Amino acid sequence: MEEFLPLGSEEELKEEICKTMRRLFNRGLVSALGGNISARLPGSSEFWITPSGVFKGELEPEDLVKVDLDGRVLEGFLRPSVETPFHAMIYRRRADVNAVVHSHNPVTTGLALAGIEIKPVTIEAAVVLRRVRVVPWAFPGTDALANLIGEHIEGARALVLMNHGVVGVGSNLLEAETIVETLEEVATAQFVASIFKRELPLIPEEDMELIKRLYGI
Amino acid sequence: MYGYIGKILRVNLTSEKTKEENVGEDLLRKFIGGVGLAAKIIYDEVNPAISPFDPENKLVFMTGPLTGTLIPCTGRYVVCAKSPLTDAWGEAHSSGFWARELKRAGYDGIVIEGKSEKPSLLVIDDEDARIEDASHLWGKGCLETEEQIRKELGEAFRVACIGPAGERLVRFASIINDEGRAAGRCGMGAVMGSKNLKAIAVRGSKEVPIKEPERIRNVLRRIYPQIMSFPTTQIYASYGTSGELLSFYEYGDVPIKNFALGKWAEIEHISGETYNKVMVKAKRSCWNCPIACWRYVRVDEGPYAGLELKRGPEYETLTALGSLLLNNRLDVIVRANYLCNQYGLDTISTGVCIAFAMECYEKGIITEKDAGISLKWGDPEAILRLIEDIGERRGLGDILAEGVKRASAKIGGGSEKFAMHVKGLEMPMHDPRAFKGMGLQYAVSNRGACHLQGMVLRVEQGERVTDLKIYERLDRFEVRGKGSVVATVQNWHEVLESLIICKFLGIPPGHIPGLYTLVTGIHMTLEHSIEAGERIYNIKRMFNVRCGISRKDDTLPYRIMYEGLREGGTLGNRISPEELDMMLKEYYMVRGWDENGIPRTETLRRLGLQ
Repeated sequence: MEEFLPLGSEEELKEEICKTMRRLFNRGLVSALGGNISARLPGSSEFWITPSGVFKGELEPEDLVKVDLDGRVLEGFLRPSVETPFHAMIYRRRADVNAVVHSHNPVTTGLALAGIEIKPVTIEAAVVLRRVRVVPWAFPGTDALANLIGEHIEGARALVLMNHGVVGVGSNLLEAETIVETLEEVATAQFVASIFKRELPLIPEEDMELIKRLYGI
Repeated sequence: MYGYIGKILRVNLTSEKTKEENVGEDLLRKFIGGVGLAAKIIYDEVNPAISPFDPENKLVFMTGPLTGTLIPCTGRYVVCAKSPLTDAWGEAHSSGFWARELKRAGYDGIVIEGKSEKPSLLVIDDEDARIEDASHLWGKGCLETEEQIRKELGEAFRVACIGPAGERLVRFASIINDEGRAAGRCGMGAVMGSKNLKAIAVRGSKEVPIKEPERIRNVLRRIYPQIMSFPTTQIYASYGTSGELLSFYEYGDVPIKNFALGKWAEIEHISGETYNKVMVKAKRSCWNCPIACWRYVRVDEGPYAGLELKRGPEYETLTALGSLLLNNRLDVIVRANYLCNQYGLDTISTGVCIAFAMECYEKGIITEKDAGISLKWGDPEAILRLIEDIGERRGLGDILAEGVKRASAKIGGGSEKFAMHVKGLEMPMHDPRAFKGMGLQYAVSNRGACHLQGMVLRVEQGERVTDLKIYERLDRFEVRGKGSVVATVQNWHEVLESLIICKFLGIPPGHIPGLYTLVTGIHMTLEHSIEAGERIYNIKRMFNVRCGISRKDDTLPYRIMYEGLREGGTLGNRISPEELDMMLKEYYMVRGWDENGIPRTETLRRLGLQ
């Protein structure tokens, strides 16, 4: 694989996963028990994932678990995230993805529950998130959820999981974090606007057309 | 070694000799500890043809690698032998502090062999083990025995003992430790009585060695929010095991009138809410347990006013001595529980035997003259009198002391149709017509009708155990798919009972191997632990096969197979012989057993048992 970013060590990757988790926890996008993160060195068929059931605000690198693309534990002593099957599914389907963030964005999840679609209310919404699809309900941790996510992940950077949370993917951890963070920013703006106004002023159509052409959305 | 002590105490009561034996890591990797190690010892050493009361039967007390460590809910031990109820594999579990004390004294377990000439007491004071005369304790109740021993040896001693029921070989006699905790099932107290062993008193001063205590503390601190949020953990913490009584009642799961009724207007009299309001004075816990499901109870009014139990009735006792007998009086249940603890009787088997006698009386199969008292349903005098008669082996009590299977064979008159047992072990207080997977579990369990080894009704209630790949909700009245799930949860429960960690802790299976690794320094994966569970389940089955157990014994009481209840949450369901057969076929296939329920050679080879 062509290396446009320097490959770090696995230890750096683990540190980075914990830092990402702390930032998301401090922003309220991951709760004490909800949310998980994984990352791999580009091209690897193994990835590191956060443990299940461990308080998310204080994760340490030695808590992380290394698994293969079938979800088998290779290193680490804690229970891997219950969502390991869908992380593995994403890595199997998307060679370009090296990091997966599953957070519990409250506003984005709330809008989905209310049946409100994320709309292009800002340039970020259109450019960064592209189209945000909603994955129907499946019980957390099951192969059924992994399969549904597998069906929706092609071409997507962000997904909303019904009654559950969101997923952001990226070529590295910062990118995946950016996705879920942007998603919440856009959802919050849309939510605030919707309190005061029924019809939201979207980005003018001619600009949207331009964006769509430019970015192939 | 870490977690494990690596030593077992072997006590020969015939020769009055004790010796220490080392346990190798290879064996521990294969059988973990606890019930796994006990099963291996019994399989290797006990001749399946002997009577359970033969001095050659061995009584094995075992702890696990997690016992007495800082991992929560690890105060338990298991005691195993050939069972006088089933004439096959027998095991009983108890909690409290005794197990931790044994580890602190320097032993993972004790193997009791032979038979003492006179009543004896085994004293283990750190690594000094000696056999003393217990003639002055013979005939005393369990609670008195413990008090007396602690007075003589010191308050720091922890005691496991039998009462008069064990001495008289009542086939469902229990072993009582720590002021009322019971290793109740399968008559382990009778095996102890047959060896003239009254009690085992233990005192230990050493800490259980742990490989990485700081890392464990750091992990535990951060997983507590999750494990304490588990629904049943919350219920047990709030109400004790009685907290689910009304919810089980709605399912039609609570047995009423010897499993003959589906509804009972007085159920709320014995509910967890009423019990906690009226009877409970304080909550107590076993060693290192954040749940504290014990209830300290005191009767304030009526004929038993002032009666206190440090370990009050649990769900099984509230129902076995309550709804099963149409007894709506909590004070009578507390008194009955007290008598069972003093005599050293399993409250489940006792309740089932009394219910059986009351139904015989109602149907005219036995009379007031036979019983010495009128046996009307719910009559407090009859219930308490029968408990004493069983404990003393007096009159009808002497027949009931043989267990419901043998009692019905002796009494006859068609009573075997409502003798509620599997393989001779009396049914616990979950009606399998409400959860058909439980029916399969009862039918196949190695120790006979057992609710605890699997507790598959949790899955039938809707629990998903993703770590064990149990993803789907299973309809409780459906039979398809149950064979596979029952085998899966049974294997997992063997792991929990080998480690040994209490099933009330809502800890997902995936956490267990890591904690084991941090405690012992021996690397374990989830897959490895599940395979060990399957190995342990199969070695017990092989012991049973040698005892003559096969497909013919994997069955259910007549009432469960042929009589549906017209009212209540079971909606007229029963588990017909055809349905049981379907479940068994699937179960045997998943287990790699032949159609007669015998493990196939390739299965045993795969598990390293051949």
